[in-house]
Amino acid sequence: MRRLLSILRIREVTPLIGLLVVALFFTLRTTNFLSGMNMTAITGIAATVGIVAIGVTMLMMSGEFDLSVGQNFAFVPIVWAILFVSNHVNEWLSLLIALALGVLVGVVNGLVTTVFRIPSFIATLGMYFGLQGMNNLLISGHQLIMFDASLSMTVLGGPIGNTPFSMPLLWLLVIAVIFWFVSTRLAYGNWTLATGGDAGPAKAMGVPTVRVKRINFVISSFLAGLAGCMQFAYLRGVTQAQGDKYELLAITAAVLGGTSLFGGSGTIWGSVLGALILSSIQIGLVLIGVPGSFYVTFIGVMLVVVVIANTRIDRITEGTR
Amino acid sequence: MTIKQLAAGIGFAMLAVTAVGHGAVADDKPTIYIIAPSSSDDFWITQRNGAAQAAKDFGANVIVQAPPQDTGDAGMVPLLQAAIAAKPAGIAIDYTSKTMEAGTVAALNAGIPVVLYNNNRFEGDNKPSDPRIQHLAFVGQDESKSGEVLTRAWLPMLPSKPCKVLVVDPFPTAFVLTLRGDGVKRVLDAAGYPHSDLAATDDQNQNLSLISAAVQADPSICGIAALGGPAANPAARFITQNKLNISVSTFDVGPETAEWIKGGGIAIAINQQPFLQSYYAASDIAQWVRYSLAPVNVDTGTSLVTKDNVDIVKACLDAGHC
Amino acid sequence: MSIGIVEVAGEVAVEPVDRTGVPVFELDHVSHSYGRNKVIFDVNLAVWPGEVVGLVGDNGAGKSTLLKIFAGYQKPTGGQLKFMGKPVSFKSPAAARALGIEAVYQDLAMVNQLNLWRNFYLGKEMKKRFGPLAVMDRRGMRKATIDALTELGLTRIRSADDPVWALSGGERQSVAITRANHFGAKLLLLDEPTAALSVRETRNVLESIRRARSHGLGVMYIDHNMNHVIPVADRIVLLEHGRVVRIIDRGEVGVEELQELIAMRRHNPA
Repeated sequence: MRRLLSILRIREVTPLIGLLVVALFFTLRTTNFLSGMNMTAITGIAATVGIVAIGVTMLMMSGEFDLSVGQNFAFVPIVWAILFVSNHVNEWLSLLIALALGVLVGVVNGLVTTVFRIPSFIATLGMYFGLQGMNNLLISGHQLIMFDASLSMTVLGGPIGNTPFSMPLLWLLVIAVIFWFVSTRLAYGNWTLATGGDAGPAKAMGVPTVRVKRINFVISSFLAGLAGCMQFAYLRGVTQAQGDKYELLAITAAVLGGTSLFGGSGTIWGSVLGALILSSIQIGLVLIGVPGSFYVTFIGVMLVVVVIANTRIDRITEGTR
Repeated sequence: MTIKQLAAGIGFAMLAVTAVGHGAVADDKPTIYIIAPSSSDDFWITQRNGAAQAAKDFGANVIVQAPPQDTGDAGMVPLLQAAIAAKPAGIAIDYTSKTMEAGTVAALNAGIPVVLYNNNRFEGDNKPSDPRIQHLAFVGQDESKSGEVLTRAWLPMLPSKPCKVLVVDPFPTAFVLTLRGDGVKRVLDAAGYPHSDLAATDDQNQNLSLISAAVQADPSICGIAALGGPAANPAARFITQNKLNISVSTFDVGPETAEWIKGGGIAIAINQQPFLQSYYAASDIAQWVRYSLAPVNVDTGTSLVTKDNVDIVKACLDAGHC
Repeated sequence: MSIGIVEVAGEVAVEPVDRTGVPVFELDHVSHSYGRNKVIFDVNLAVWPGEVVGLVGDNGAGKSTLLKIFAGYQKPTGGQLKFMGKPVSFKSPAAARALGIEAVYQDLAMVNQLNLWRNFYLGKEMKKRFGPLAVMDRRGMRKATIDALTELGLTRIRSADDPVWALSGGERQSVAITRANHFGAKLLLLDEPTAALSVRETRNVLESIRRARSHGLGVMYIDHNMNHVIPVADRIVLLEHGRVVRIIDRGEVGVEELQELIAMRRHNPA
């Protein structure tokens, strides 16, 4: 019993069980949940949502939110596409400039939150509207398309050989490994968790809490922009609606993965699993023929249930110590 | 300079330019207001182009007023009130619901000619209390009738033996798309084609996966009736990539949709010609001012686009007329 | 109000403090004002290595301000600070920390959400090379944490991965003091370390203070309960209205005498 409970204390275990239950349910209820085509469908959504969720998780671990990631997810690829599709700037240089602007968004988010000491919820909500207006200014509802994939687009969003998967999935795994390493093996990960857990003692023990938060704002913005570029490269087109509500989906994936809304705990793989759970349910419900709009209701209920369950598990496992 | 500052700067500059533009209205040209619900997508940008062309062709000041974000009816009401206060020669109103009634009545009571365009939603709860409104001239397409026109033209491209059609709605909360779907389904029902619904999103990537799942769930699907571009484009992509024998129809033609029609991924689309909506609405008012001619009804939803005429539509798109 | 005297083990065999060397920290004619309001007047005070100094006095006597000056939170408006005999001036608490001046506050001792070893090494993580990267030496930190806490006598702790929220307030402070010890602090500052603690916890905290002393750390702490000062402090500094009015050596007065002293001065200010 004690061993079982100590396994439950590993944060990734609960979402892994969740994903297995979801997969098992849909595998039994449908004939083609595990088909190659369906893997394409599930990973097609989970890859980009997952990358956004990884950045959001780092930030949430340090106790802050980023509501601007969904808009940044459109903003960065729009800038990229404007430069290299519409104005024929070198594709790599364009990508670099676009990603740099995405980073700048994170710098501003971090500075506004930490210098003026306002809730990041408000600072990044402001950025959400700011970027929405900016995206509108940049393409005013138009769609930018690039049907002939260039090298950079193939690298970011092309197919992976003859598999049913595309590059964003590979990038998701690479990015997850990097940030798993950063968050668990580097002192910076310790600082991130301490900053989000309780900034007072962390600061008293010499952790540069403000700098940690600022860096995580940048990570969050950078990954959102990068994932947006991958989606553009994958779809070969971008509109302002790209990434609509991804800020909420990313937070949901992180929470399903066991990240605390109050900071101080969370895991990268948990969020990746959370993204997979979300997309599996979204796709699975279509496969079994449940009306599509039911998905959001389902996610809403599940989110609340998972948070309650996580709180309970924390209490039970604490009792065994 | 930060992005926020840049955005704010540009926004402020645009406001200033708009204000100067309005201030310059000091000649004796008639002023026509067009109240729109959005300024941020292809459709409404093209509307604006039509209004600008009408201003040139008919020697009028045509002012398009739209909220900065798509806030639905609520965003248009204050703009309409402001337009009435300006005592213009006429106002074109997108009559999206009964919410627009009070403002429309106020304009009529102030003696300002009104033309409805894009929407004249009178059905059900939206039935106007003021009988004058139902008799106002309307420029635009009847969404559900367009659904019928489109689907009747599409039927010969589907297998002649009735098979399943997937109706994909990228904006399940938008009423006009429900109307489009109703028109599509009426024709399918009459021809004996079964159909099922897929509620999708405005994000094309998610729609790509959703459509994939729906097609796998039901291999008997032989046609996808997309109710807008964000559903049609990923549908075309999916069937092209997987070399499936499924025909796609859709509403509205943007650049990607035009590419897919040209490549064969989308069989047919109906274009409601937004340019003409504001153009003819402004024209109606201009002819009233000039010649005292009563405004006329114009149905703009008559343009069917297939591989055969897509090049013309693409040129029209590039020119900002489609 | 009198609480029963807390017994502290080994009270009889206290080695005398060697004050022949250089004090670890020294205030030389230090005064401090908040604006026009002068709160510290010409204080001379030194803490030697291996010495525990108790700071007592009525509310508003300037105890906290003095502690803040020690910890680098306040820069005194007059006088000179000396660390290991050398004049110093702290721009921030971090500057004081860098020299080995460690302040432990009850509510700022630990991050609840982190487990023991992460807390113990927070900000001073043990590193090892991993290719070009310096990664955390998790095994090393776990082992060292357990060793340090076992020495402290926290036997309830089973693993270095236990979260600290299971620890009581006193245990946290004991861990924090052990941590300061472990990282080679020279001077330990404690602000009312026994406030709101049970008798047993108080004993543990005072025991940690004695252990720090035996490792050669200078310790200065504020306490309102004379029962917690008399048995532990080598010297007791009585503050009043920002002035040092008396310095009492170990064994010079008893608990009740000291309480009377403070009360008397309250009623008949000098």
